[in-house]
Amino acid sequence: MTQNVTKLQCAALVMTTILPTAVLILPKTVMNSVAQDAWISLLVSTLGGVIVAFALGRFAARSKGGVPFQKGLSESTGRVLAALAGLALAAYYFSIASIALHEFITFISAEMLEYTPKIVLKGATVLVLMYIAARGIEPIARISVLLMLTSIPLLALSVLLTLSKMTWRQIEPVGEHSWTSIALGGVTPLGWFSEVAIVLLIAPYMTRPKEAAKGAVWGVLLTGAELIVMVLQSLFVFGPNLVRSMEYSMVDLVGLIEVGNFVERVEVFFITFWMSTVFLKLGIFLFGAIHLLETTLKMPFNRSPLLLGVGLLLWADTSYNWPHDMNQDLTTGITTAMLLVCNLLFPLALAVLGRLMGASKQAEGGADA
Amino acid sequence: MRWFGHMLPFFRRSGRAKRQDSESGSRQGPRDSEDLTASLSRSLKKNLSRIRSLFGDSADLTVRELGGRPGDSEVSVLYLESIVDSDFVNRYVMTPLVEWTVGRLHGDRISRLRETLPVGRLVEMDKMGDLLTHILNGYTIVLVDGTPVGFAASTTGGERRSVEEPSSQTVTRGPKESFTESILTNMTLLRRRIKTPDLRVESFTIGRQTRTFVNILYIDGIVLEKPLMEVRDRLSRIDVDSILDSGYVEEYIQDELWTPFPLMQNSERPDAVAAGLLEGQIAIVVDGSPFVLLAPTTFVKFFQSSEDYYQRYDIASFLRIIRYISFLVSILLPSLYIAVTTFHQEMLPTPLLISLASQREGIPFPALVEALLMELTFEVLREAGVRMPRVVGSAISIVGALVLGQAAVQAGLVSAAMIIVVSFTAIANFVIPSTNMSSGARLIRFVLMLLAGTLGLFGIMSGLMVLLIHLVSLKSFGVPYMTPLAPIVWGNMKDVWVRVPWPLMKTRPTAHFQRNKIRQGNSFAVPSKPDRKKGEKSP
Repeated sequence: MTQNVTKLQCAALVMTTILPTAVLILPKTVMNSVAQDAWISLLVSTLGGVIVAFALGRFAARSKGGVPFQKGLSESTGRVLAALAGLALAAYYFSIASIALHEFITFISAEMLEYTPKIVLKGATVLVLMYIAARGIEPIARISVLLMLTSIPLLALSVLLTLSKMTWRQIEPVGEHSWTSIALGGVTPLGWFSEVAIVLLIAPYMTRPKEAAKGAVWGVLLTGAELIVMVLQSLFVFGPNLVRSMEYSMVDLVGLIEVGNFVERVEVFFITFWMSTVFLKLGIFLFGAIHLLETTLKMPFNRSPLLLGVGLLLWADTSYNWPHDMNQDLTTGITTAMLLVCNLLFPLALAVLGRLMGASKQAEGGADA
Repeated sequence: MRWFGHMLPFFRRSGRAKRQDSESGSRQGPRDSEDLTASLSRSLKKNLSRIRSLFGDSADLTVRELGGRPGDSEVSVLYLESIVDSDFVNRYVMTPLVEWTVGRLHGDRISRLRETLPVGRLVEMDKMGDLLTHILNGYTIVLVDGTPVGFAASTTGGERRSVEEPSSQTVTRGPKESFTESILTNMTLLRRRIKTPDLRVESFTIGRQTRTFVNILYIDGIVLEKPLMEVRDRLSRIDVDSILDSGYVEEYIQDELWTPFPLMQNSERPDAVAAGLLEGQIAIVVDGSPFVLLAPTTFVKFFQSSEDYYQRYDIASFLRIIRYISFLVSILLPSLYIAVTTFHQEMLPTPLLISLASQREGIPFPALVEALLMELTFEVLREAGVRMPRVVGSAISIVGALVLGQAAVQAGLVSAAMIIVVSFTAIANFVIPSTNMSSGARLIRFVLMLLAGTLGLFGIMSGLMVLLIHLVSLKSFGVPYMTPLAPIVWGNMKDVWVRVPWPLMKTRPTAHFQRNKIRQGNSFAVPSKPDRKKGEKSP
């Protein structure tokens, strides 16, 4: 792969990695904890996300241009540890892809294709994901920028068209919950923001890897801003109690939009646009798994056989590994813990370990000299 | 076992023969390569004998021997009667040569010969292969006994089509000339438009049997070196029997084979090619083809028409937006109709839903089959319209539009709404200025229809996502196909969705192609504030 990813594309990739699933699940999850103060929780977690993005971005910026993350890791922490880390992260990306795919198809099935077997929908999606992963990170980055630029005016338009339905008093009383509750309400969004760890895989392919931290921070800031606007919009229109009882409040919100008698039921268009962002998100995860596997295992052949194998495994895993009536709260609970461990603690541990081992090597070198 | 012993040599021989065939084929085709790489002999007699044997005594090979008896002459003139301008040969080659040989001039005979022949282009050569290539391209060869070099005088002639109006890329305002099959005429048409010594021409001969001249043109100082080297390299690697049209070259040198999108532009308009050259593109002119190729190119270039630059910017921009919308309609409308009527009826406003449902009542086919039937019928009619003699071509459209359409609705085979959808899709497809792009759109439409019929909007989105990823990963001679949209190049947006007025297009629109980005001075720059002289105070 060549180094062609720009800072803007890096920010867009971060946004694509976090936003698509967060936009559906976070409003309800956060409002369950802190009701009308959800936006404050999101604000706090966005600030937390910026710190996480900065830390991970700095770690990523140490990578050498064109050298894959796992290979770079083996230079600082040793081959065995790097191989284990590579396999563990590949397993994580595979697992998170499987969960997200399951959630995505559950949503599609509920909202659009009730009678089509889920296994067929999952199979079709896996085929698309395999194609996306096969083409590499650069095409994903280019489309991410387009989607990011499209999402901003679309969001503004949806706010404008729902202005007449907004009641400003819905967010009162502001700050009713304690700071502890607000901080706890921000834990789940922070889990989502920690997905910014994808920057570790992107940085080696950036035109300037040193800009990884800036790209990551901008990505988190933009994502946080869009999420806060969406949550506020839901709050103003529905109020916290109604949102908590809704499965997907954003879809219902867009469903309210009507212009005269001829533009109505635009939620299908929203879902269609949203689908494209989810395809990219899942594509990034599958790419992450494949990329880590091929660099860790040093495959002597091209990507296609590995892609085929992992794709089939993903299809089987997502079709049979999750109960059909899996509770969303359960998914959220599992994913938050997993996200924080795999995206935040694990890479930071690797960074610290790399520093320590580098320092000890230097000391040995000094002693030898 | 005696029969086996008799058969064995046959098998051995046939195996060896096959190997020899393939080896010779991989080098020079049916001619032995040694024949073609051999140098010319000093003996005129030997040279003539070899040429005659190479041509197998073709009836149109004319050999005139001057200055001696046949078989012992001093000078020979050779040409293919079918492809030279005979009058030109007689007047400007034969007559001076006869005078030269009769006059028995002394001194350096070769330099005298050069001065004697009053032709513009006289090529000197010493290889049999070069001689063959020139004679096959309408040159007249002069061989002199005792000299191991030959001269090729440009006498290309024969019957040719004259310069006419473009047939597939017509405009209401703008030049009305189009390229012809003659490479020389095409070069003339381009040279007349770009009068700079920086316009460079490089020539290739491709095709073992056809020996087709292929010229690449570019403007030095504007073109980028990397794509130029890539074009040269790919052209020189073509090893094939025949090049009968620029389409052959296009398929050999394009970046990716497995794509429905054209990765090179083709145009029959000299003005469009000249504009491409001025934006840093490389033109590939193939002898025998009225379509000139342009590379590298981008997706948005297929939605730009020559006329955009000849008429006012506001209407040009409006029409360009219409073209983009038409492209989307062309690939998406039938599939959206199928998806909505089959899976997502809730999307439609109730009165429209009732109207559609009442029309579809009694139709024996699902929407997908109905749409496929109508689309395929249209494709058949379209193909028939192209192949049919022109006098009956209009009858086809009447049969298609009135008889088939109306009858199908009255018979209850298809709904009226479906006829509207298919017709509008077809018309939208014709709006795309490039036939290559519109053909690609037709293929994509069928795939999306199948996806819509099986998975509804989800299927369409899956297909579009694959399409989008495919598009952004395409490259044309190293240039990202979707530039300046993906990757975004803000500075080049002046000629993408809209065409801004000429004075505002100070830089060339596609900076990926060229070195020299500035294409106009400031004399017509649009002033942002009312012009005031320095020191002048406002009242």
